[in-house]
Amino acid sequence: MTGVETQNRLAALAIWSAGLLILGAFTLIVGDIFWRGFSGFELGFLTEDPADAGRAGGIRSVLAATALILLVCLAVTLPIGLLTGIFLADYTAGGGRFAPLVRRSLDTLAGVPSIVFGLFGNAVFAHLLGLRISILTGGLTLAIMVLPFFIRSAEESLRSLPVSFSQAAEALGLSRLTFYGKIALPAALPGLMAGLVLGLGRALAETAALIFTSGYVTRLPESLLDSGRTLSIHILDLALNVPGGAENAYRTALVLIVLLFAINGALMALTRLSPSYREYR
Amino acid sequence: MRHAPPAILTHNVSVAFDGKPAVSGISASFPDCAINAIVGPSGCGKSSFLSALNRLNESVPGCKVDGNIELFGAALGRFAPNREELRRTVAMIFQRPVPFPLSIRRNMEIPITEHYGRNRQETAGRCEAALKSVGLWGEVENRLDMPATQLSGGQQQRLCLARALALEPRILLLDEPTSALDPMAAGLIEELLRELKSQMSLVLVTHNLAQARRLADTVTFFWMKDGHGYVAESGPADTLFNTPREDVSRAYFAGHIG
Ligand SMILES: Nc1ncnc2c1ncn2[C@@H]1O[C@H](COP(=O)(O)OP(=O)(O)O)[C@@H](O)[C@H]1O
Ligand SMILES: [Mg+2]
Repeated sequence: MTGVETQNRLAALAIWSAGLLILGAFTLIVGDIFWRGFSGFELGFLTEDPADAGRAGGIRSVLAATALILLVCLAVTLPIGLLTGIFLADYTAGGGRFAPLVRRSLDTLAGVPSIVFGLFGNAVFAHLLGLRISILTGGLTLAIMVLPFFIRSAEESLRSLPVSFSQAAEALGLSRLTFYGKIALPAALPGLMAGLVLGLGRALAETAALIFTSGYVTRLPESLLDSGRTLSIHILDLALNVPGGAENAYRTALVLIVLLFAINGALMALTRLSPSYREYR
Repeated sequence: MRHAPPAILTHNVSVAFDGKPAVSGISASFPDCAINAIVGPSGCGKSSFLSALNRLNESVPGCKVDGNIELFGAALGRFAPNREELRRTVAMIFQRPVPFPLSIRRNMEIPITEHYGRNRQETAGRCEAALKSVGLWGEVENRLDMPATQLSGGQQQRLCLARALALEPRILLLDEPTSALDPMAAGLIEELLRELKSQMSLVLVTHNLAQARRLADTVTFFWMKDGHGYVAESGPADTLFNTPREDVSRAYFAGHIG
């Protein structure tokens, strides 16, 4: 065996082991949660409210609060994120010196620990704007946290489209609104969805930013101004503060993971429906 | 009888990028119902000049256009009251076909509804007529919902032509429209251009001299001097190809330079 051949084999071995290690860790974590979460899992877990600090009962109110917070977050993130992404990616918008400033701010925001967003949301939304500790405050705080990631990924996916699309649209006298609405955003859909999946994943996993903003009561929220507890906070609370809460913590984690997979799958399915996706393959 | 004004008349037009002129002092006249070829080596500002004719380069950062442009005897601003109208009446076809990554139908429909409003029947009619006029209808009639990017290069370029023609332009700007196509597909496009010139004025940038010889009624020859392009000679195609006045034109058309 030549030296080069040995080196190639060693490199291949290292690469494969690294891959196997990641796969192993993933299987171990997910497997552990599925194994423990499924033991004694009943459908009633999804339809009953928590009882006895979460040791007993289910997670109905927690699921509701999580869904509402995510919806608030999405309702803010999507329009602002797309518009800002377009602003940063569009060469005709001529952001001039403003665009780099926005980009720099976003990158800085992306690196800020989430607990800081929590304090900010508490000070500004809960107290200054009087939204109290509520679903609304939590959703808005999450939106600010997720926006930097979503905007940059929206910018990237729009930038990856050939400039010739924009030129051809201009040559046909199409307005920028038509160009983005009917041509660029559909064409960038796969990238946009990937950004959204990442953003929603972060939002679902968040605890630190939410404790001071949406709170941790387990009551079923009746309006956006009620406070509520998300799945992640429920897991945190059960694991940390409630002796004997481990079983339900694992069940909740199982639900959280399945929810993540479901969101991922749904957005990918949506992407596949668009003709742009089919053509880019 | 009064002489009809030319489709395009430019006086002392220059295009600069970041203050550096790409072409300058272009005074040219392109008659209606004719194929007007612009020839010359690459980099001498043919594309820059062409884009100035429908203000397509005004969105290019740092690009500045000077001089006067008249279309059918009216100043550019008076000929078309706004940019949308200008782009509709002065269409542009690029070197590489640019179908949008959508279905053939959407490619046609988006510009039509943008300019003529949402009217199902009218849109379908315009779409069919335009596709017929470029000889594509028979080929795609039954698969209008297929992605336009699955068409061959020549078909894509004819789709782009149809997309522009559906808007009833009076001037068609073509920037080396066949240079990315195989000879068969290029031949089809050339045939179309010959048919189209009964209805509009065509400005065809090409560095394929044989193509210019086959198609052109007038020829404008761009050359470089002091780092920017200028018009070295222009006139009827016969004159430029057979008895050019300038030494540089003679050398270029004989194939000695460029
Ligand atoms: N977007 C642009 N930004 C800066 N310079 C440009 C741009 N487009 C063209 N130029 C410059 O203008 C000159 C003429 O280019 P072009 O009009 O494309 O010539 P041609 O079409 O005859 O090959 C070139 O020197 C080129 O570098
Ligand atoms: Mg060119």
